[in-house]
Amino acid sequence: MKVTFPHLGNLYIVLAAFFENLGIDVVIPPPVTKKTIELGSMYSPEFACFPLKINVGNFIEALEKGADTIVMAGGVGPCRFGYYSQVQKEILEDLGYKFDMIIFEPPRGNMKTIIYEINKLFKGKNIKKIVKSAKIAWLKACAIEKIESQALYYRAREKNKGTTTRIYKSALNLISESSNEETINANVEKINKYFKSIELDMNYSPLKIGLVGEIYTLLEPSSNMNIENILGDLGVEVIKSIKLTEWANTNIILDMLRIRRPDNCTFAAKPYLNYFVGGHGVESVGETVIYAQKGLDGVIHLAPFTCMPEIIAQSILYKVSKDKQIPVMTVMLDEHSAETGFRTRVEAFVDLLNQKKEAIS
Amino acid sequence: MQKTVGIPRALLYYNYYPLWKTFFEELGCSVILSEKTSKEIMNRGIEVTVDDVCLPIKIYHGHIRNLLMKDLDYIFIPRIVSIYKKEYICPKFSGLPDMIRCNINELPTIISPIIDWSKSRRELTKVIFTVGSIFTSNPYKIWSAYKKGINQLKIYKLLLKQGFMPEDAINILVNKKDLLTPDFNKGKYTVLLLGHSYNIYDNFINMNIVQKLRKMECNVITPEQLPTEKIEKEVEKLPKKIFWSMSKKLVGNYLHYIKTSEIQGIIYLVSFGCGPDSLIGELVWKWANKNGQLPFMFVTLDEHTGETGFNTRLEAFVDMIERRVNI
Ligand code: SF4
Ligand code: SF4
Repeated sequence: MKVTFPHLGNLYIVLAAFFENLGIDVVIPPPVTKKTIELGSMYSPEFACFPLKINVGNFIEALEKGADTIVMAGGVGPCRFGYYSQVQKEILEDLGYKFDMIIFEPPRGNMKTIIYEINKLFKGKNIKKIVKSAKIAWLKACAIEKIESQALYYRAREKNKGTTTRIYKSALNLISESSNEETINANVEKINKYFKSIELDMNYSPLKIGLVGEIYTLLEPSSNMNIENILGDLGVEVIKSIKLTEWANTNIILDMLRIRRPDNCTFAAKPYLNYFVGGHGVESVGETVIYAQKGLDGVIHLAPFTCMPEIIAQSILYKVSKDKQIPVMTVMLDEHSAETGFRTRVEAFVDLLNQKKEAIS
Repeated sequence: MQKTVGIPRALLYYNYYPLWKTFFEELGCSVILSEKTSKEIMNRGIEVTVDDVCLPIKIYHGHIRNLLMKDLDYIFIPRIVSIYKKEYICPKFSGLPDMIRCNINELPTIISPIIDWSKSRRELTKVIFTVGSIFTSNPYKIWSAYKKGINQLKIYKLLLKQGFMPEDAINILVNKKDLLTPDFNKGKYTVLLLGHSYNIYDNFINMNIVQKLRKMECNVITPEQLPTEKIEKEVEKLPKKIFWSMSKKLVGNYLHYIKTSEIQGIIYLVSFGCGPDSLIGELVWKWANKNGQLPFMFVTLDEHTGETGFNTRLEAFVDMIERRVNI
């Protein structure tokens, strides 16, 4: 069995660690390139969500590299994600690929099928080993998250442009290569030191822009033209609240225990969007309200073209932006988005915020 | 004074209007319907919505604005999240009242009950009484209004099953005309018209497709004509449950009719940018292609769809049916 999975930011490091520790062979899909996106778009339905298309590109490239088992998450609606895997399976089968697809439906789904799917993957593995692999994967996830948020802070303030991004890359490599708990912990220390060594411009107070929107386009840089780097290089500090570990915590673990956490975000969104609309629609609205209250300079709202929850959020963000006096820019992304146009829009938005800031001070 | 309640002639109006109308009228209200969809209504919707939202939602906004020109006490914008267990309509329906509130100013009081049976129907009675008590404190009156509404809805659904289009069915109900025997199923061929109710029954959106097909000697079967049990029987066999009720109905229809000799062609209407149909429509299209027996046409509708091109495609499609049948 050679397992593969879709790319989602740095998640591949976590998943690869998990499977490899279990002794399962992994084929990590090649990094997403223009070609990946082209392949995926060519074979996917024209109006499917952009993430579905990039997934298909990942799968094709991984299957070509010898993968024979695809691991994918499922869902129970109302959004499209829950039906991704069915459509992707048909597309790949029609292309003639032979593979097995293991779909993890959320715990709210049918317990019996979940156990059946888990069995397919972990047959013959002992529980202790599974727990240990999961622990290592979790530690890596936490370490990666820390690296990501440190990079956002340092990139905006660094004196020599490019230093943070360089350190960020080697930090990820270090975590990726760490094979046990001790090395992970030791490397986290080391990485902290690296970041602290970056020379900062202490008199500079950067613009702060919140990034909100659909989770895939927030986490996968190839889908958002690497917006974090673009903004960071413009001296902007990016504030982002979607975190993978947090997401897993609320959506998988707490969900399994049927604990519903009253969260600030839903509360903040309430006057504007008062019902769950799938995906991260409510979060996009709620986070924008919170960011406005915290005094951020602006918000960039990212979404795949035709994304249902985010179209609802977009309709509502107009009003939030007016009421709360915070500039909001929505960017819809798909395979036709052009990098130059995108960059120009982002730069123009940053200029606008800079002017606004200067006018106030 | 009699209270007036405005109901937009859009979205699930085509599925539930007789229930809503009867309910409010039995409670002593006068119901005011927006005008039929027109270019004017569409444009008024487009003016206040974001570009990326699908046409039916834009048009719904247009109907709300059309209603604002009338003298209303209330406007009815239900939040219809789910009508069956573990199923949903579409996320856009869940956020509809919020979008309207943010996009349109100076609305009268909105009546916006939450219809969410995705977990259970327990809330049904509560919803009925909450809405009813706006107009009366007499619970008996509320319940009987609801019952009468449900009765009307049943008759309406029967009429649709016979092949009446919603406007005609509502006419028969409202004007208490006798049940006429339908005189429209006399064409040479029969076409299965798939699509969401607000696309296949709104003659502005679909550019009069039903009349056009009938003129070209085609009978039209719509998804509302197939009994639920038959739909369920078909979709049960799928490896994964389709959790969008409307799309599920279309798939059930497709799987049912493809096995019969009742139809000679299939037309699938989708809104540009429709989420559920971007996946479900694709599956149906793939199946139809593999099956290859029947002419199958996908029509994408948005505000830019031109009528001339549409007519040409329709004619070509019927030609194709003719050729296949006459081989
Ligand atoms: S949230 Fe958006 S991108 Fe994700 S499945 Fe739903 S519609 Fe597609
Ligand atoms: S089902 Fe499709 S057409 Fe209907 S509201 Fe949702 S996205 Fe729009």
